[in-house]
Amino acid sequence: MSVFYIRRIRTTVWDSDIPANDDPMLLGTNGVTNCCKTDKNQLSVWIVNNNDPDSYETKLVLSTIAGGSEKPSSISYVYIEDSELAAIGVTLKQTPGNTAISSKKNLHWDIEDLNMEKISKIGLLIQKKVYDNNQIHKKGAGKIKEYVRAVFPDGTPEAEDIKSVAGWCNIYNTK
Amino acid sequence: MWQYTDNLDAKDFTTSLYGGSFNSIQSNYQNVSNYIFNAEKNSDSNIILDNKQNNKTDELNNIVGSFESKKKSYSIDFNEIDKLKNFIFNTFNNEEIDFESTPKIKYIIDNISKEVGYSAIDVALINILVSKILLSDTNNIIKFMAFLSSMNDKDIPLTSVLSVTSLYVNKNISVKEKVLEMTEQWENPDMIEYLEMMDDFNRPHLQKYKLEVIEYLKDKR
Repeated sequence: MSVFYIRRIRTTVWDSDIPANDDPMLLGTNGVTNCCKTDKNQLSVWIVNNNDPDSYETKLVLSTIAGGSEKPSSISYVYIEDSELAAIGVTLKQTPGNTAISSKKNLHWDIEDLNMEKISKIGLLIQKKVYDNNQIHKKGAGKIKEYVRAVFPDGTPEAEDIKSVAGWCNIYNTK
Repeated sequence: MWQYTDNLDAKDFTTSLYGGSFNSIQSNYQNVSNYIFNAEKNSDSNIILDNKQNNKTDELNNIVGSFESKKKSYSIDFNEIDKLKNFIFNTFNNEEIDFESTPKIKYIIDNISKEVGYSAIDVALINILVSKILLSDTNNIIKFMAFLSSMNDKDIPLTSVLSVTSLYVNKNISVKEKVLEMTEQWENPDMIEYLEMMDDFNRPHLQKYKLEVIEYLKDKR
């Protein structure tokens, strides 16, 4: 059974053409330098057990990612299948994610030991997904707030976690 | 001297600038620019700001001081607007701004507004929008929209309406996408009619997003 990872992306920076012969070393630099920022040679992704944008699992992960932002905002994202990462030759390790939702930090993984060759391959993989109408997804701030209220109902520890972030303190005051 | 009144309706203002037709917005960019520039030309502004923080603080105090005596009458000298515009624009240039966080410049403006009023801020911002942003590169336009989205659109009625009406027709798909994000952040149902006039996106995920934003804003009515 496949495992997927959600990578939050900035669609506006993937503005160059797909390189000839799919050569990752000829990929334009804007996408990788602005949308694949690494830390300790690691790239952040979030695990999910399907690639259905309307599934509960995706809504849970998007809500968890949103909990790492200062305030509700839109999220553009792609799914990366574990087999695609294996084909690139990268490995992953579970690390605590940057989110206010304490109980969901374990959904976070890092693609580790990256170098210029590997990040270029990942960049090419992401760029192709950004250009593919079936693989690029976007949820607005309104939808994200709706998801957060649904998967972390008011009164739960997760709701208290996200309300502790200043920009989210009114998330459950819908009227 | 130009009189600014609080009861000036934003739509009326932009309609008057555009001769009553929103369809000719792009072709009227230059007219709007001339309107602002001609007004500036009549002022005696010769203030030059540098980027040193301590000088910025002094400059800010001077700006606030010059507005203090006039804020009650809302009579704004373009020389003072020019100083405010330069201060805001330089601060904007020196900060990385995105849609996910609240920029420091937002808090700076909140503080300035306590002294000069948001009416003056609005005039300064519309001046920046027309003279510095609309014809600049895509990244700068998007950055400015991220900045505007952090503010309450009710505080800057002229700038918020003009930014949407001038940018929803932009040919760049990323700019149009960010217009949607900006209006969604503002949660202002008055923007629905502009979004409905926006050309459809070729990319399905963006077209779906556009319709979601319109529905979201309808729920705010």
